[in-house]
Amino acid sequence: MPSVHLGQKAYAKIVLHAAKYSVVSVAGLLLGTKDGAGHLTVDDAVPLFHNVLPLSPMLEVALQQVDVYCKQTDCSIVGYYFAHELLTDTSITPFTAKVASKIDDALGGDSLLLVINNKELSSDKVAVLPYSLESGSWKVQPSSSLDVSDIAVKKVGELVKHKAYEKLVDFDNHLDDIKCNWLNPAVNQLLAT
Amino acid sequence: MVFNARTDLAELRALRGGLDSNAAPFYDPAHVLDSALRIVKSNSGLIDEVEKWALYEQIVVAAYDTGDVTTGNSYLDQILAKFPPKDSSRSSRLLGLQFESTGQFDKAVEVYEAALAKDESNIGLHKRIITALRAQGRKQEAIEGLVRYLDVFMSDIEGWLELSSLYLGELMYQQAAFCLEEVILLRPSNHLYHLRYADILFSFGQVELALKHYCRALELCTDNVRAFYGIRTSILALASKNDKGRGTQVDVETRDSLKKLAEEQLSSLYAKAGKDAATINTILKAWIQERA
Repeated sequence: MPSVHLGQKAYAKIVLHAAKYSVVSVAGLLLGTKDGAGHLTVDDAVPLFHNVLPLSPMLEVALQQVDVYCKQTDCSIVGYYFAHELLTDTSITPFTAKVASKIDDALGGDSLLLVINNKELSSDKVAVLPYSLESGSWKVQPSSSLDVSDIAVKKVGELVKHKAYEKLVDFDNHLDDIKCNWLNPAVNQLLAT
Repeated sequence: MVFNARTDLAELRALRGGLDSNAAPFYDPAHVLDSALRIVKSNSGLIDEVEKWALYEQIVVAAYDTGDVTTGNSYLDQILAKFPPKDSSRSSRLLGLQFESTGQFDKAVEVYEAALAKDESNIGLHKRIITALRAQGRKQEAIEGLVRYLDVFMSDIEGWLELSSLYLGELMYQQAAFCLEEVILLRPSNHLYHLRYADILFSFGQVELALKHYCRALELCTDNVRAFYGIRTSILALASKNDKGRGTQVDVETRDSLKKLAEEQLSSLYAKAGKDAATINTILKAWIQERA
């Protein structure tokens, strides 16, 4: 699999989402661009759900709306991230595989599936495992194929310490209160400082 | 982050109120631990002796949930000294939790079962045995245990919802739907359960029935965004399955007016949401247009 650059904004939102909902599963979308050689640049993430259940209606709405956003901003849905509720579980559930494969199809291949390595969330290491679709099933890739800057990892660690995750909202929050903006401008601002 | 003792105390009380209450905030163990510790250490007179022990209990659970075994143990020791487990099921439950916090699930279950022998109708103890299974990833056994539990305690909403989510984890949609049916029978006027039931129904192809329950949720909770989205998504799914309305109970006129209702109400709600939601509003408008 060609290499993937995981930007600070995307990595931050993934980790903050997992930190905010530490007792249940979380999932979300990865946004970015794919070049001619299949290399991905993941610029942003849209947190979707916590206490993830394999239910389609709201997921469909979320995928369609994020798609609209992508068309407006000239990027694509380049992948999906997921964290299990149990600390040591990093398996790919059938539903996760299904959603990620659908995204892969829409992208025309080379999409990224990130499974959060819950145990590493409180360490200073990169806390996600990259997967790629090979011959119809999702296979884990070497961590060297994922490029995440040390500065990003450090910054995100600090954000978690300062409970910045309280500012993060996901699509579930939005459905409960539409004033919650799933593009997370508040978190974007924190990262810009 | 500003520390407001009264707000925090209100949240902690709501959490103790249980999952069935609509007002319960999301459980963030780190936050619970932080605010509860501040309140009990502040000696401000906000809480009485009884509430102090309830807060200690919340501290123990939240501490174990965040992996802070030291704090958990120190508050648990105080609880166990005042309320020895041999006389108290509630203390036994916490003692079992202590074992769970260090991964000693078998010892934990021994504690729960011993306490159950003296107090067999204690719901909390039964449930801890099941959650211990879930915490170990033993999902099939958790399902079996929960089914047996619900045979006896059939009005336990939390139990049915837990079973539903375990079934969904195994993609057993029909069984998950059945659990929601039990919950709806027990709490027919709670729109949240109709929404969850509708989501499950839609997910395994029962789109018309899903539509009915989204509508019911809307009747129970006007302006419910999930219900509007559910209605529109269901209508579009029905349209793609069956253009002429043949063999369905929902005729084309009704479908068209429901779709229009959902779109108009969503547009209006999003427009009223204010300038912070401006970008999202633009997305909504374009989204509606895509399948107008």
